[in-house]
Amino acid sequence: MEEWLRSMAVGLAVLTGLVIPAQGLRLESSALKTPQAVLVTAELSGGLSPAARDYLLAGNTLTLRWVATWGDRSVSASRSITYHAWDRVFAVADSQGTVLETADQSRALTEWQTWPPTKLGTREALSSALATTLTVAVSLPSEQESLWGYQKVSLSLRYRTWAEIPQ
Amino acid sequence: MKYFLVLAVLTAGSALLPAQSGDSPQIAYRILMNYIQEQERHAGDSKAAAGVLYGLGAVVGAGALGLWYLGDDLSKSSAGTALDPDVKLWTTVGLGAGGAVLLGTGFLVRNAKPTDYRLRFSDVLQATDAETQNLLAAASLWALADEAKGKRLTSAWTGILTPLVTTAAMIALNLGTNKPWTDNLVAVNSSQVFGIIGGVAQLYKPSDEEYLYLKYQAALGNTVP
Repeated sequence: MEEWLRSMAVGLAVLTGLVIPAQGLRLESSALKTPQAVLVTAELSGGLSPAARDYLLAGNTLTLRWVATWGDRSVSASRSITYHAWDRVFAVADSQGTVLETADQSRALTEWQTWPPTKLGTREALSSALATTLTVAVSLPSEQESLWGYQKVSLSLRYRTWAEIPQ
Repeated sequence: MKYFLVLAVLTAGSALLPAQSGDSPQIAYRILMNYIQEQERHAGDSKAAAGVLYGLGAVVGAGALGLWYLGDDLSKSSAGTALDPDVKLWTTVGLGAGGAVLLGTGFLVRNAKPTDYRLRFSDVLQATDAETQNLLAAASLWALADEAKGKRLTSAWTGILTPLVTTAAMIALNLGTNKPWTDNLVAVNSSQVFGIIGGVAQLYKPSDEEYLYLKYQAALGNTVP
């Protein structure tokens, strides 16, 4: 019965995603510098489209896949959110394990949609990439793409000098 | 000059912009850099906006021409009588003026020189000291917000006051020609309704640049209205 309900929820979510594309998906990203390295950080808003919300609250897991590419350097990460309906708790996890468990939906969503500063490379390794496009993209796994109406979210950043990168 | 005045005040110890050590996050600079990147990404949007304005202007202008040349025939076929000549004239004038304003605005938007944001904020971008860079960025955020607020209010009041001016002119014309003062007031303001709606909306909705400064204040822990 539970499996059937979950299948129904997934089916409905896919249909809704096809009919009503996600609104207000917005990505903000920035490169940051430390004395040794260049980091990349990003924040998504609007990731919990109505279809994604139904899918999540049915007890499924939503995964965000982050990729940043600058020159020949590329870093990726994933971050998942799961709703444990029985305990009414949201769990956010990355590749290392659970990073947050909370009943506060807003806090869980913020944590899920934030890509914490991640090392892209050293200044030496990235020196040839300056003035070229730094691309940051976030996506759902292919089987969940319909939850955003098959929209792709990516952003191009351009820094011409090290001084232009905030710390 | 404005930036330097603000910077001088801020460095003198304003509570709004506490001094930061060399290693602390450059909050203001991060927000400003994101703003610059965003503006560069949307640099081509003005062409689309101009296209929309041209389209609207053409539709409103076509409405004016249609009313002038076909209005009587259409009125006769639907209501059996020709249009009141005065109403026809002033509605045509109202629509024609609105169409001309939209086309003119579209032309200005289409041909506006694109802003080089990196040049505009070159003092910030080229600062080598992190603390100075952040203070300059904070000053730039304040200046951006102040400038955007000025433009927003000017645009809002222009939208709201223009129909008042045309209304006053129409009343004066009516009284000067011994007609009832209310004659053709609606007709001459046919295309002003969007200006009023847009103007009132602009009065209450802060611009993106103003939001950025509020975001910066919030990041500093200051009370945001």
